[in-house]
Amino acid sequence: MEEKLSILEHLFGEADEPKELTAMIEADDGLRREYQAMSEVKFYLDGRAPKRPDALVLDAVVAAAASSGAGMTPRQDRPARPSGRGRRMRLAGVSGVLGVLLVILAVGLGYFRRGSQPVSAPAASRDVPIVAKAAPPAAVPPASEVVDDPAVMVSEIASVAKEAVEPSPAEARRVDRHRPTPVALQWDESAEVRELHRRIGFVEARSTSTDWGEPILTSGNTGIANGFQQVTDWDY
Amino acid sequence: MNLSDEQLVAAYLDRGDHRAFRLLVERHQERIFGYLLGMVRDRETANDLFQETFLRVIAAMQRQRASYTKQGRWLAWVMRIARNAALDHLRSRKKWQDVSGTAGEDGLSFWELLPDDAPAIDEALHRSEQSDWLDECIGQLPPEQREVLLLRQDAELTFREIGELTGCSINTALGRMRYALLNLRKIMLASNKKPLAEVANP
Repeated sequence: MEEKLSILEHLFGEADEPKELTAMIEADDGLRREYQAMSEVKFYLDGRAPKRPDALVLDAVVAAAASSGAGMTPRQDRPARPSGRGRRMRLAGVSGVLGVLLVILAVGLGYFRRGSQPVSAPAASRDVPIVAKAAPPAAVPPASEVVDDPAVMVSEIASVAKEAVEPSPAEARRVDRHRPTPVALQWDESAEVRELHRRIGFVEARSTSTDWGEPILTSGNTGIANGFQQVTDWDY
Repeated sequence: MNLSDEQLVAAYLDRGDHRAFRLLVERHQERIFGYLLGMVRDRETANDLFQETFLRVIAAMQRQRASYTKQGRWLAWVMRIARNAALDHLRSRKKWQDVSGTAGEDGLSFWELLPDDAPAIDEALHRSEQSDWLDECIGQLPPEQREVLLLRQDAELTFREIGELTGCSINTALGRMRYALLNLRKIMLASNKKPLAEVANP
């Protein structure tokens, strides 16, 4: 009986070891006849036309599913995030405006300071864009003391450069005592120094641009107001 | 992309995607409706039971997956609901117990005790008539055999799934299927229809 049930599994493709069952069916006449009889019936069963429900029934089922689905609480899509590009553009715009305001403020302060306190060596600072690293660390102010005033920065850079090129007599004596050979200076070409030099040039260029000394020319009354020309006579 | 039943079920339950549910229904409509039609043998009733089955399915799935736990095949779970709907209908018509009550002392019905001495079926049958004729023959099977045959042949459940669904062992399901096929063959031969075609040997 077990074999007869096993060939049924073989017939429907559920047998674990189909090869063994095939060999067993071929070897046993009774099993082969029964397998053939069941195969014949299955052949015709496989050829039956599929049965489908009416289309209206199918639509009603799907409609019921949809209406029931509306009662569920599906996860809502989150609202779209604001565009990152727009936010970046706004930030860039704000920072740009702030930067322009800072430059204008620095130019204004520098202009008034130059008028009251003449800088001793601006030309020297302009001519010495690269600062020697041999300057003592004490000469570099701490970060908290850094000022944006261009005039002050120019004077500080000039003094640092002067100290580097012309050491004080005490330092010169100390250097001469401990180091018989001349000091080989190492030039500081770091990005910070280059940026500082670029900013100084930019600020000075902006400061001198207002030194024209010429009065601003204004146009007279041309009869044009708000882009419209006054009409005195209508030519009909 | 061919989504699995489980993926479609998740799409319907998690996102309320009723198109996923439509895909599920369309994918399995022939299996479920074929079983129901074979059981009740009336198209209108089968349509009603098909709709009732899926209304139960939707309600069960809405109850936070109370009865559908994603263990096993979704089709097997739906077939259980379809079977309950069909049996409820047949019991209300007192058609389910009528035939199965004729089983003998050893638990086998009259149909299962029929001798298998019919001649081999070896002639062809016209294909356009074959399907209806076969359905008539299947309808003459005892309900338990007919049910196993429909569950295996139309609904494409495995014998193990059929055993779990009908509350019997896999061997009992196999035995019912064996008798179903042998008896169906006898019924076909006895119907005096056109002879069946020869079938290639295994």
